[in-house]
Amino acid sequence: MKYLIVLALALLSFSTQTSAQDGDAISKYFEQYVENEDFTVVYVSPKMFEILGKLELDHLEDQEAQIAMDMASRLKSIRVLTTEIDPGHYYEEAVNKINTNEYESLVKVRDEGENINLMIKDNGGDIITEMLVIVGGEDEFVLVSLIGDIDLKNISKLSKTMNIKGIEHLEKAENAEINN
Amino acid sequence: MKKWILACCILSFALTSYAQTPTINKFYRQNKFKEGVRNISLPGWLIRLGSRIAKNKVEDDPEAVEALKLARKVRKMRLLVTEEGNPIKQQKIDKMMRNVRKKDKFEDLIYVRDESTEVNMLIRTNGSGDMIKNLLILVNDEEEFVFLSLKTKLGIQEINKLLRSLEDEVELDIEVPIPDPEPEEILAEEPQV
Repeated sequence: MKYLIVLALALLSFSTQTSAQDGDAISKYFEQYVENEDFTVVYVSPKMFEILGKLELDHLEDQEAQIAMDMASRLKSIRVLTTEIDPGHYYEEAVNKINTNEYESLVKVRDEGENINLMIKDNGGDIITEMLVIVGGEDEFVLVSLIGDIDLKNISKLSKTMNIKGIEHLEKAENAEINN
Repeated sequence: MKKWILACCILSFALTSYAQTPTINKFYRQNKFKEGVRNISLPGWLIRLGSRIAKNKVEDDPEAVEALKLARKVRKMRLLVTEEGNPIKQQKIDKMMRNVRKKDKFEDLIYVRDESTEVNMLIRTNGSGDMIKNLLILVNDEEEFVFLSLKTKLGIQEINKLLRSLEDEVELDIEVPIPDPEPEEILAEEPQV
């Protein structure tokens, strides 16, 4: 009986640690800004993607749309943090704060005065578990975190089906894929 | 005697099913008569009757017909609205949100906050997750507060049917290309802000 209790406690503490590690970059590095009124916050929960996964999408004739919906159904959550106040400062903060041992830089682009940085986190293997889009321009700072089973080849197609600020920059991931 | 036991069982079952959202019920009951709060409660039969009447008017529009079919899945609607300041204390709202997740087993769907305006959308599904049993939408602002609670019997199959009817529009949306100017340069070094 004692062993069982010890085992249960060990499992519980392990699962708590794992869930703490599994948090997205916004909850890890920018939690203090989530309540800040200077920032706009969007969170699409795992439940939303669970429902999306249950929808029958065979009737979509457009193949790109099929792939995009399939991609979306494999996502677990999306969190977006944006502000128009002092965007340069927050971009610098994001780039400096995010642990580069954990997140690997995929592509950096400067496009019409806007800096776009795509970063990915994998599970140690081929599967990408989180993708970060960091955008810093003169007008706004955008930080997007996508959690789930992410397919780099098709991630850009999401930008065509979701109307969420910052998602459009995912097209850069496809450019990176082509360049590689 | 047996009849009494049977009656008690049926009554307790009915009460249990009614008490599946005790937090929502309590919050609505406590706040509906507060000064500055407007409340609307519509029973399912009235919504179904309204959708039948409206159906005759929109027979030419298949999308509207499908949307009305969805409206028929609503079993009850309760709405609280305040416009000039919110007489409901923020602590009460926070407590309701905590309990709705913990006790009523609601799950977050979408959360948006823009400046001081917060929008929360939560749902409660059946065990297998194939049916949306409750939908709760909250809009909370310094000036305005909206609490919309829907008791539904909306299955994933019904949403699928609606999607099929909207198929043409979905395809049209997807085919619109998002302009993506060619990047001026790809930086090898740290970008300058």
